[in-house]
Amino acid sequence: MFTAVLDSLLFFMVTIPVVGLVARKVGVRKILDGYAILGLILTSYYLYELYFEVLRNGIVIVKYSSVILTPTVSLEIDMFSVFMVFVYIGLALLVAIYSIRYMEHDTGLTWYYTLLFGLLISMVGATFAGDFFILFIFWQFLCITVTSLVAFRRRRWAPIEASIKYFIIAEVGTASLLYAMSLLYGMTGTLNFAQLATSMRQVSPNPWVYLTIALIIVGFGVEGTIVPFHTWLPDAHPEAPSSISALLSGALVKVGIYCICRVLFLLFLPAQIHWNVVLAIFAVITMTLGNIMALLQDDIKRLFAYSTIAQVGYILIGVAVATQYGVMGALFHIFNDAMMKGLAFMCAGAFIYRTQTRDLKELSGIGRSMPVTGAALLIALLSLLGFPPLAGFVSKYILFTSAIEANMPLLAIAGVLNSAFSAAYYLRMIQILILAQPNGRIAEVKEAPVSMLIPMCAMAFIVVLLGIWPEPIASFANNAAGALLDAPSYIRHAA
Amino acid sequence: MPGSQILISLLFPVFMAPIVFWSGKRLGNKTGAIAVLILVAVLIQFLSILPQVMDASFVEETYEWAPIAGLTFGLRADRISLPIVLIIILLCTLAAIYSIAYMEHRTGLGAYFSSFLLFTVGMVGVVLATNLIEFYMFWELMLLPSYFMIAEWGYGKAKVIAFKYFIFTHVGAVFLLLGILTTYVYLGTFNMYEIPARLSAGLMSIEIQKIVVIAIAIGCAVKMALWPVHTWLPDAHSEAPTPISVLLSGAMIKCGAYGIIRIALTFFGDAFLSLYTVFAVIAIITMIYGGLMALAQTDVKRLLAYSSISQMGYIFFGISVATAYGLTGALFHIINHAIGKGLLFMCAGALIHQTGTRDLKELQGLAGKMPITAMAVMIGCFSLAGTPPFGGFQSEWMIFAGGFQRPEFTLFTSVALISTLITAAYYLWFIYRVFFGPRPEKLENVKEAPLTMIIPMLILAFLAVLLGIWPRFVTDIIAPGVQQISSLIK
Repeated sequence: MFTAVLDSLLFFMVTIPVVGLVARKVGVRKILDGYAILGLILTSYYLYELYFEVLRNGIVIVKYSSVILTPTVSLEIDMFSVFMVFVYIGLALLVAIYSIRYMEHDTGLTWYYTLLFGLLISMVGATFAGDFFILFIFWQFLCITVTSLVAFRRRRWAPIEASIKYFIIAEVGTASLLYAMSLLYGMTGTLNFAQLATSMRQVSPNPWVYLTIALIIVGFGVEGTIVPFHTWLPDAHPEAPSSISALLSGALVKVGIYCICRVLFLLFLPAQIHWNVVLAIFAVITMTLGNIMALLQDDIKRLFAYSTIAQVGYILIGVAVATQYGVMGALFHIFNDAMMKGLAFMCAGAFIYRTQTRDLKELSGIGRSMPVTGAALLIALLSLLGFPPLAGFVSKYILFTSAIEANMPLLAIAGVLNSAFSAAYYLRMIQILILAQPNGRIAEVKEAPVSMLIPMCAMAFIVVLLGIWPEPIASFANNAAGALLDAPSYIRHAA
Repeated sequence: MPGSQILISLLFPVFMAPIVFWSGKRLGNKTGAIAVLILVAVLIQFLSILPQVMDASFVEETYEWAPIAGLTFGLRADRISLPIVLIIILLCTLAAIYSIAYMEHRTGLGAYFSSFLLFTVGMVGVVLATNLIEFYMFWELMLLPSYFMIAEWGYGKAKVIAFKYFIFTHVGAVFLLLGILTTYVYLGTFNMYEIPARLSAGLMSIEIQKIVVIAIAIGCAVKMALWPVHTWLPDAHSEAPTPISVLLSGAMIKCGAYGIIRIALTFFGDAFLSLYTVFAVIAIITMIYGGLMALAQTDVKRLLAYSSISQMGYIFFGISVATAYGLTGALFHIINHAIGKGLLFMCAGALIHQTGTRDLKELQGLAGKMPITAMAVMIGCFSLAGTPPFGGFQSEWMIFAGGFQRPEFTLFTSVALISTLITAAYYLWFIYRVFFGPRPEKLENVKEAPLTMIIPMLILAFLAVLLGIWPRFVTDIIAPGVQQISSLIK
């Protein structure tokens, strides 16, 4: 109905409550975990098939008609969308494996998996959308699932507060989006991306166009945690379960970036309307603020939240550069950040699982008690720092050189200086968590369970491998960047 | 696989590092033997390249690394890089042998020796790199294992000192990266050997070239610990475990000097020459300041650390005069200082290991108790103080002769000569203090260091003498290579 990928996610979301019920009756919780993982593996397989279909045809289109809507293009999938969904599903699969043990003490596991699949559906749907209206529906669904997931541990007040904060800010963003949509509809009489693009590309710059762009950046920027629309993230991350934090940072934030790229590149020519200059300014503000705030944190997950904001700044460099090489760097960094930050949150989750604390000082020296987790965290931190030869270095290098090639050297210098500055807090974490001698309670902590270590080791391995041999993901990202910049082909296929 | 000899030799320790790490859990300090064998194998591999380099002037291997990002991975052994590679690996091998006894009471030696191997790879990679990004990558790879080794096995406030070391060097590396990126902006290449052609096409004005040279010089100066960015060195070198001090002082800081020679001087010769008076002044200040500070130390390793700063001043002076003679002297002094300072740190380690103190005020009259160490210390000190017939004499003489070749440097060189007096003063005081005079009672039971510590010291002492008597052993390799650079800088 909506491509096999979405259908399979939908099917599993609907059936998970039933399986959950059966699992509870039988008394074997693992059935539910296994079922969720099976769902994700199946979805990955469909994604794999979709990848080849897109590779063959360039673009895959799903038309959908109903009573209120005239037959219209609802989903339009190109390599860019496939790349992004690859990031979400890949990360979600690792997160699901991790969740088996991590969530074992939680009640409401059925809810957890249902919401997880709901989150994935909304992210995948927003990424596949070929129409602003469809995008908006999935977007709203996204806000609701994230709100519920942040408040998942609802017995305490803090998660609920964080979730309400997220909900309010996200709804303001959505309202702004709705306003932008109505302006676009008023100008062109359509919400279909391809038709919008055809019309908008002929519109000469006028205040309404600028207002629309501003509203779009605000609307998606909330989810993309572009400073100053980022304030929900540092609150939501610490309160959400770590597995969800990994998904929020690794995938959800990237949906915001995806939508900004998709809409702006398709509808407005950077050469004509210099929206990329605005994004360049946001890039510098975002990474600088993210790095400065990260320096001040004592809560390990809050620190990672600010580090995510800083990484968004780096990603925006590539978007602001708006060349294929730059976008390729941005996409490559999106993938790398999903891996590094996902890994970092999983390590933090493993610490919390064993010690029930998020405080950096209380966790002092835990890397020695949990050597495998410590080593994985070390790799994640060094990669986030941009240390060669790890994945984070390669993508940052591509981003900085792309800024230089596009004659934006200041952007590159800001990136390099920020990168150097960020060394301070990553190194501080290494010193406290890994190098310090553990004492008391921390010295007796045991290594994380194997099923949590498996996804962590896999991600650490990917981070190292991509640093030495970046070619596979880099060329995939390059195809995706090419698809994003090839707006004429996107428009032609929908016609 | 023929044709990939350098790559395989370089990566061999990387692949062996996990094995060393795991065997460390079972074998304890005997893991060191495995690390030594690996390093010996690498040393033999690189020695076997030497005849090819002598014939063809260089051996180069190039690989596609990430074509999509325009990165190649090249390794080039020529008359300048190969001698430095050989001395680095030799020093690493000897320090690994030395570690076996020195580190016997410490824990986590698997991690220690695998970091040790990675550290070696980082240093060798920096010297062989042909691509600026690759250079930067190895530059940072050199930092990380050394940071861990200082933080984990160091003395005193090891973590604070390691943090300082990391931040200083990392910020230096950022300047280096900015220099590299600026080069890329104007020349559109990261490949060092494409730079001359693009420069002669007039793609980069001399002002921009100066900026690049300054950025690269700052990055390298932090690594070399030149005044005024030297402050990390006395802490890091004195608090690191002694075998690591040997490598930091003997090998790693030389990579900074090498970076200036290889990038700034070779490829941006004009810009370098327009700045050389500034560099010479910094070199002289570093020389004299390091020497004076060494005079004031009461800690054996701190004295040697300040002496390293002073010696890096000599090397930088030889580079900044930018004559064939001075540069050959500087490169030769890199090797002599690696041998001499490696030797002295090993001796200091032997003293600490046997007496349990590193305070000069407590050490006295040990010549009778530790005769071999005493002899080794004297050879090392005399060599670095520039006394014939030791290696250091030959290279210092060449540096200063090179200085006098430039008429405008006569004053500078004369001032620089003063610092040799300071050097002689603190080394003689050091020898006198530790080995002669009345022996305090509590040092009565001191014995000579164990054999695995003595052997590396003897090998280095032998080399210091050998290079003094027969300097052409090294200079014949280096000098033709330097001629090629000098032709670039007129």
